[in-house]
Amino acid sequence: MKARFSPLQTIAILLLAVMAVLVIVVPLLPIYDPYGQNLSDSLLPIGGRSFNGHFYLLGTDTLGRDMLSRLALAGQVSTLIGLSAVAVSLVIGVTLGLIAGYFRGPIEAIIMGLADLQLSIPRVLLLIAVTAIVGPSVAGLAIILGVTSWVSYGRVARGMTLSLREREFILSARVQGASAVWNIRQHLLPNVLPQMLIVASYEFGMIIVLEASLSYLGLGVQPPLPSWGMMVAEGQNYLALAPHLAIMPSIALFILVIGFQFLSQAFTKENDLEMVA
Amino acid sequence: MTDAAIAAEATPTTALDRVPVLSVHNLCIEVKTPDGERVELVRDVSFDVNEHEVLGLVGESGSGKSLTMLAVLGLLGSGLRIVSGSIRLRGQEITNLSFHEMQKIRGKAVSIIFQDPLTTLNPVLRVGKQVAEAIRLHNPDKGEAEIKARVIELLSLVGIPNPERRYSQFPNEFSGGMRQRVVIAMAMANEPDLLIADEPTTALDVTIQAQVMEVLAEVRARTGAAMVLITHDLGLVSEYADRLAVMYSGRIVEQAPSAELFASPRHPYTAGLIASLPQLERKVETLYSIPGFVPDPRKRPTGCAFAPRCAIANGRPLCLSQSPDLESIGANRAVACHYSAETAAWSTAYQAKLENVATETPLPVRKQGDGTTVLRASNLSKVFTVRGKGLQRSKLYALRNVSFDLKAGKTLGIVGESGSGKSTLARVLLRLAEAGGGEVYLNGSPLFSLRGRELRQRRRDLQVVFQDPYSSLDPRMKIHDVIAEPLRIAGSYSAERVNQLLEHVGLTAAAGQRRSPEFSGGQRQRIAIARSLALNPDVLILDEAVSALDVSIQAQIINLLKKLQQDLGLTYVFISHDLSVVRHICDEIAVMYLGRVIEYASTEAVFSTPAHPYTRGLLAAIPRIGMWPHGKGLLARGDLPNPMKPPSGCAFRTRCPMATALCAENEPVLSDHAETSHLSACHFALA
Ligand code: SF4
Ligand code: SF4
Repeated sequence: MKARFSPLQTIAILLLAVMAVLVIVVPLLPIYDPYGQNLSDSLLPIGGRSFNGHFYLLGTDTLGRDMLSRLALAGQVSTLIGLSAVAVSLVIGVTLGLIAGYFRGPIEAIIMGLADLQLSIPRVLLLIAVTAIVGPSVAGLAIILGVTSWVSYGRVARGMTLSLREREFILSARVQGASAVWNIRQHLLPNVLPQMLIVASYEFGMIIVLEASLSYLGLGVQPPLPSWGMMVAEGQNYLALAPHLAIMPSIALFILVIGFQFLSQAFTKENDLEMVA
Repeated sequence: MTDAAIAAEATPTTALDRVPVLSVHNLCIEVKTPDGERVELVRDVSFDVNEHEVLGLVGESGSGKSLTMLAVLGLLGSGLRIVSGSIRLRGQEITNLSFHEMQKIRGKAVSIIFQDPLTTLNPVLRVGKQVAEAIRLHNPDKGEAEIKARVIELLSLVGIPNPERRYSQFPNEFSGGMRQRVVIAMAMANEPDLLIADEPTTALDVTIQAQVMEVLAEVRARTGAAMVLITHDLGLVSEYADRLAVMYSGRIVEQAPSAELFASPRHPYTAGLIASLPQLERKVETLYSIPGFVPDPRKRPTGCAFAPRCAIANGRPLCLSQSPDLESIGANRAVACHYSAETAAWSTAYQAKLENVATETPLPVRKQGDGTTVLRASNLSKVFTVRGKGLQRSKLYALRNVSFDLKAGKTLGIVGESGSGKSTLARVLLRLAEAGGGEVYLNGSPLFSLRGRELRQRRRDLQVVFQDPYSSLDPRMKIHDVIAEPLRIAGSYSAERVNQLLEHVGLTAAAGQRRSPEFSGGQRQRIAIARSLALNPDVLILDEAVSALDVSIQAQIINLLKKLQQDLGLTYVFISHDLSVVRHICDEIAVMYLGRVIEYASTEAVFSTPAHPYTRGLLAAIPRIGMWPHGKGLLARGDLPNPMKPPSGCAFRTRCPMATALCAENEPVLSDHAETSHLSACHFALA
């Protein structure tokens, strides 16, 4: 195996590296202070310096908090929510997809019916309704986002299972007395999972955007915990005065989402070749 | 074949009037592997194809036969490159032509027929349009009406009934055989000088294969085109080719007129191939099998590439150090072997050994031939409901009253073409599909009523080996784990047992540490067999288990199966479309047609006195070495009828050369004729 990357992979890796620095490295720096307010330093521009000589690489917000630190913390919150939501939806989707594809019959009809139903209701609307009832919290957000986005995993998992279950190594195992659980664990899951990771890298971007939109609407993360969506919402009011307030989180969001999109496309290309062969 | 065609084939050609249509000289083709290594896939290949001639290009997979002809067409894929040598079509050098110039030649001077008509035809275009396209490409100024008339003429030339109606149909409305006829029509559209047929009938059933080969011979006779017939099927080339070139690991190892080649092969590989072919005429206890497998072109042995597998090399230094050149031996013959003079003696000695074995031990006693019934099927039936357009539902009777009775240690052959229901039968026996009716008894107790854990326990006695060695092994698993799987399911895993199983099938314990993609087709099939034997089954269902393998590998696996049967007292159900293999391995045969058993008897009886016209047609359709022309009157006519609307009375009557009015009224029952236990379902069965 040689470690040579395609252009797409290289871009994806670069973009994600930038985000990793923001989310992981920045909080380790001494300047990290997402909550410290300093009203006299409020709304400093990018690279701004306060009169007492404090340097703010990305400026400050309305309350004079360091934008870089805020962005990093918000990034942590967003990725945390994204990852947990993806994990939740992956588990639900793969389980339901494998069950539907392996057992077929009425179970499959029910599961796929559920999927159709889920898709027929706009996700944002559903999310708004649910958060309005349950009330916003980070854990709740992750679970709700996860539960409502299992359908793409389920569909792909089912499709792959349908073709795999007719493959002769699974037929052989059935003839040898393998139970459904055995076949699903030993043969289906390991063959389906790599494909699921592609779906996951695509879905991750979607979830981040969804979370941002919810937070933007005030239904997501609650202050003082920042989230990119919320930061965009706050910054909107100062677009003329301090455009970086809304622009910086937007750019961060953009980089993360595009990075994951590219990553999933790069994966898909690689795996297509495998599927053909 | 028409008389004209036979005359054309038989026309003696003297050395003087020979103008080569195609002449390939010292052709070398290389591939660049992803890690930048260059590998020679075709090495120093030279041959001529003369006017009116059929040259058979024979070789196993990886021999370079198809690559050579793709080079002639200028269709080498990316990464492949002609390094040296020349290709002349009617004297014109074509290796240095641009893609555009080559396009003018393809289809006009030379055209090709690929193996799979399904992928050759565009599924969304009407058939007539596709043939018209082939004409228009090279005749841009022909009028619409003129072209259409020509298409219809071509379609009727290749024996497609109702060409006017068929003109505007789509490929999926054609059967496999009819599609291949369309492809032939396209290839012949501009009356090319040279036709390249790459495994043209490999995807078709035998009865259809015979029809398609005849059409091919007829259209060739009409236009006088020369042909290169690329195939792995020695029987087919022996019937249809004038001259043969045998390829091995990228080189031509022997060239000879076909009759001479089969009568006295000079290269040890050719001799070995011929000896390893199961034959219809006689049954031998063990087939000769060329040991080992075709070398990876990256790791070709130095010296003669065939040396590690050669029966007469004996490790002689010349074979190991120097690659033999293709040298002419007598008129029209050439061979690439240092010791080709010894091949004849080897063949004779081998033949003599066979006959000795045959006379001394007529029937070796089997370990467990105690006459108890192990597997019994009674009146199995299976109906599929097929959804048509809208609310239409039609019923497909995949199995109708199939019964048999299989004694311990015996082998039952289930023979049939596509649509016969033989694969459905395998699935029903294995309970991978539920039967619509009937019962299967394994060691005397019924199988169908079993559920859950009980079923999982009992089905261990009935195991299966599938056709496709590529999809039967989980690619992610180590071979050791593949074979261990049934043991783990049963909770009786031990590493020794796995190694013992590997040894049973001729593999080492070390092989267990590798993954399936590293193994060749034959080795994978060995692994699949080892896995099926893990739980000591009584019955093994071999579903086309050797059909996907090359001739020399097929012989190895057949011998292995026979040996395992002797050693372990196994009972086999051997499902196959290949009658010569079936003859070689089976004790009894059931022939199926459209879901029904239409003949059921001992192997000897089926081959010596086939009772059903379909069986006789099948036997007549099999191309065999040194036998031509075959019983033409016996061939089944036309295509398989739509299984959703089978004909009234006898299902075979639409294709039967003996059908009468009675056949349309009453369905014949499967019953004895004269001899006991020779069952057949025909009103006019021959005893
Ligand atoms: S040259 Fe030697 S190894 Fe090669 S085929 Fe002849 S005898 Fe066998
Ligand atoms: S019953 Fe009639 S149609 Fe059927 S096989 Fe016999 S002769 Fe042919």
